[in-house]
Amino acid sequence: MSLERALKRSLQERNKVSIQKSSGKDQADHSKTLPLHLQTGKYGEEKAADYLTHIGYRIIAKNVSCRHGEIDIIANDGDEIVFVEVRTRSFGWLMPPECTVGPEKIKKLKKAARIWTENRKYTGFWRIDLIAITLKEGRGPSIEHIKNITEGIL
Amino acid sequence: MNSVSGITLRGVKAVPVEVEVEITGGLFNISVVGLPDAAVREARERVRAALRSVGITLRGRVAINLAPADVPKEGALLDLAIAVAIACVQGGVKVRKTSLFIGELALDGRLRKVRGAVPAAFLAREKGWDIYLPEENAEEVSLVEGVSAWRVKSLGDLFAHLRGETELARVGYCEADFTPPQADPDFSDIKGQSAAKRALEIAAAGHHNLLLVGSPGSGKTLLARALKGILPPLSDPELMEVLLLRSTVGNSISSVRERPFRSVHHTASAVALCGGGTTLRPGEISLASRGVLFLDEFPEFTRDVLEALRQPLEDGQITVSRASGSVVYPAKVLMVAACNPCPCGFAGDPVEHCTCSPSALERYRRRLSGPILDRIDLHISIPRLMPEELVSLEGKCGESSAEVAERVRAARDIQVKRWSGYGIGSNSEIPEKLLRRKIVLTPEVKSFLLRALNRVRLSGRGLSRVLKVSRTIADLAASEEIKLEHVAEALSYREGEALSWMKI
Repeated sequence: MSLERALKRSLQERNKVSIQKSSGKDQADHSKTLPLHLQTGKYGEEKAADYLTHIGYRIIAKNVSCRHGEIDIIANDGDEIVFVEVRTRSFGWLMPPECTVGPEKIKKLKKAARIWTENRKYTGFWRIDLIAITLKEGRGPSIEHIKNITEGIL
Repeated sequence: MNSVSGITLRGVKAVPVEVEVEITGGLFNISVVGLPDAAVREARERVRAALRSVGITLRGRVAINLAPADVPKEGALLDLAIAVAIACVQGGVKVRKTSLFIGELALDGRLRKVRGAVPAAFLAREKGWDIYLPEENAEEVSLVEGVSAWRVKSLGDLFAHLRGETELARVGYCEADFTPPQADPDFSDIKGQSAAKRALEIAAAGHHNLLLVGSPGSGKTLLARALKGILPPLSDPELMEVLLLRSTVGNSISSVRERPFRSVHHTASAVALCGGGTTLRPGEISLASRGVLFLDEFPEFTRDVLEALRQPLEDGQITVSRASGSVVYPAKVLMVAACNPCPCGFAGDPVEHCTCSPSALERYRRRLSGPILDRIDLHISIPRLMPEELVSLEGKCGESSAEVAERVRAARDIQVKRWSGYGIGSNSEIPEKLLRRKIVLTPEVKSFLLRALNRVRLSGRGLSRVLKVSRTIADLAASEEIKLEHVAEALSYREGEALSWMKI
């Protein structure tokens, strides 16, 4: 019941966003002029969304921002809502992307996710996943999906 | 009552712990309430990994309640009960009959050995519950009669059993065998010392405490170790008592009917010897119950340790009281103490000269208080062997342990037959009122005792102990009444030459 309601609300929101996007013509132009690192991030998020749909998740919302930061993707895995943080690194970085999510970031993600679920009065199961994307020269990006990143922190 | 229960140990008693689990939506989190100690709190990590290994992934908020809430829970043996309770909520497992689940989980779902399996089996038998326990604990539990126990290798096997897919193996009852272990060292390996051997025989027959006094190298330790070989095997009720204690501390059982022999180093603390600690563990004196507690270098023990032994030696049990509660442990030990007559070890020696100064002697003797010596029935001096005796290497020296053990067993049988109606098993346990009523002395013996008491000063307890030892000597001789020679021998062990150095 609560899951349905939450989905409905987010669908409405997404529609609103997409209407806005399609109406504003200069927004598309704006994205072209984005700095390189933001373009990389955007590309990664798209890849992650593709991947999630591919493995059977339903995307509920993207780039939902609130006071504690932004949630990249909110998806639906069976009866569980998954908040996905996407990290993209282009070739040449020494640090793997999954290492860039520290305790501070996890705390922020938990807060944001909690606010999202509470606003929608959602009482079911939810978790936070990480998708780490490494861009490689000449080949397709490698995608790594780490489920339930808060599990080890009790 | 929930059908999933674990246990926590309270002394040698198992307290049933009901495990309740609630899972609600939200971000994954496990919380354990009900006074868990660190090992129980860490169980959530093991349980989570073990459950995943059998295909149950936890999610949401998992609240685990261990009831009763005011009893502190300790140890890793609640792992299995927690895992089963969670699986009942989330994994489609159903426990139909109220059961005890004990076992520590490995991350891959295997079960590890725990301490406390025997107390748990006793509880299960008392309540008529089933008990599921690790494979490695099955051996000790198989000695307990009338328990419906199942041996569990891994979590996967257990869940398959509970779902009705496969059947686990039961733990069958097997009676402990009576084969006596090989005596090591054997009595026939010990040269000379026939008086000491006789005293050991009396001590073994009546479960009397023993003090060996002798110069260095005279064979005190060897004799004490040989005592193990002449003790009769544990009877069934004794075996259960010993089994409970061994299981509580997690000692493995080697030879089942063998009486415990605990040798304690003189650096031991009072807690190590008498029991205690925050978890109220039994001490060496309880682990040696129904067997031998060997204290080598007796005067080197700290004074408070020796004085702490007084009350358990008298009562045959020890009450360990701490802030977290109090438990009563059995302490029916045969205490064997060994010491040198003086710091240099040669006081009273016919050849060697004692080089200790009077003040050193005084200090040494003051370590052994009157009250503790009063509780030791047999005082024996172990003289150094003469060179001729030492060199005669070939041949056997007297009887073998098996022959002595046979006499000891016969004497014990007489005692058990006589005292079984009173709930005691050996002469050393005779309570005061029974002693006065049941031990009848002939007028001749009485007048001898009176004359002896005028010469040597014996306390009331001293006299009782002399009478108990006399009873044992009479039993060894298969004599119904206590004769003069029996009392005389008992008196000689108490007021003989062994402690003459004490009174210089």
